[in-house]
Amino acid sequence: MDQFVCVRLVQTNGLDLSLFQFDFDLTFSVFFLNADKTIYGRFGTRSSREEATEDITISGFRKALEGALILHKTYPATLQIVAGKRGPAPTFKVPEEYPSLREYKPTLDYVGNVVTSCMHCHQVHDAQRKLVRSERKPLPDQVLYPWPMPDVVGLKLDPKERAKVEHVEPGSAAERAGFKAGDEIIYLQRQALLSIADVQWVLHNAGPAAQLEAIVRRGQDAVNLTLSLDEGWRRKADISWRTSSWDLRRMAAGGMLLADMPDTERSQSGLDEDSMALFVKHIGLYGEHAIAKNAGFAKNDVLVAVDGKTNRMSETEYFAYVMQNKLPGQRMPMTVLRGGKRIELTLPLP
Amino acid sequence: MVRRTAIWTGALLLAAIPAAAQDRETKVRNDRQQIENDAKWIYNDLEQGLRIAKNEGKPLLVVLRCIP
Repeated sequence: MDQFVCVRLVQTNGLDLSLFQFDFDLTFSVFFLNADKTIYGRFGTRSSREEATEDITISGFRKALEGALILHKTYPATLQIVAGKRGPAPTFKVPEEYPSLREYKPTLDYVGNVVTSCMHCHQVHDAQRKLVRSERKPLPDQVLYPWPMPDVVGLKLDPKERAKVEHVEPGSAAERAGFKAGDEIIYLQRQALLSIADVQWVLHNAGPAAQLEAIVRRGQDAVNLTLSLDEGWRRKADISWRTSSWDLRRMAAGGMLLADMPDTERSQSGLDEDSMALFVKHIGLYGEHAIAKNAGFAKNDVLVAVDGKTNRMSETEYFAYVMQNKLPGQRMPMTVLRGGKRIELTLPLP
Repeated sequence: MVRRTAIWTGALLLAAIPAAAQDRETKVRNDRQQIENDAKWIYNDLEQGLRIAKNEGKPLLVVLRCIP
């Protein structure tokens, strides 16, 4: 690391969003840059709330560092294979230009209360969703399912490596493309990869349906593969772990934290495996997070019908249904199971 | 060199784990003090980092750390 100039940024306030486009639900993210602001790569991945560090390892970080140094030593000859790492021009140059974040200043208040002056990274995701919602539009998949893990396309990558395939999910887009366990993905969409975050960057920017060109190292060979992603490919992602999903719970569930009931508990409640059974793990008490409570919902209720739908769905699928089909101000009829009885309630959407 | 890198990176990754015992105000201020006292790090000043990187011909490692 002493071959790098090391900078620690602790605030989202004033962040240059034309340069720093990353998964804003992370609390730890790394950029490898040239002094001219060319991005060599990113590091930092998370797919779980409880196991915050299972997706990153020291070994993987070291390999990303080594890769960045190689790119730097050969720069600008390597410009072509990192050019795609800068994102499109952002809607707003800095986070505090988002309508819902205008209360924040571009700098932190170390003289007064630094915490209240400090914008959390995840608030950028919140602001993006609030903006779309305020325009009364369905949330696009890219905004609802940001920074997909490679698992979504069937690739389990080894966190101890840069982008090495540990497992390919049978029947997945990755298997159809010809990926095999042990493959090292060297390029994806002509971008050199330093980490799983770099793979996520390509996936994040892929279209609703996409063809992604990959070059993998397989033994001594370089193999060209094409990853074909069908319409709706992102929807396999689980976003429930994300801090920014807390605000989705306000917008889509009136403050309820929901969990798909496991099969073992379903049988005890007389629910089959194909039916909706969303258990209310928590219910908000204040502001718009108390909408569900004020509408008569309670902790430990089980949602068994939502807006006429009774098919099994996860909390993420529930978010998607509401955020892509319902508008603020609408009311959703719901059936809940409480103490063995079915109760009809209506949830107003903020 | 390898050992030193391992220690550095270990400290960096461990820093991602929240210290539940402190409130956030204290954590942010302690983090600032710790990093500003570490000659290897530039605290919250990207432009300074870019200038030094340009002068020394080094790449930058920018850590975005939201103190939880």
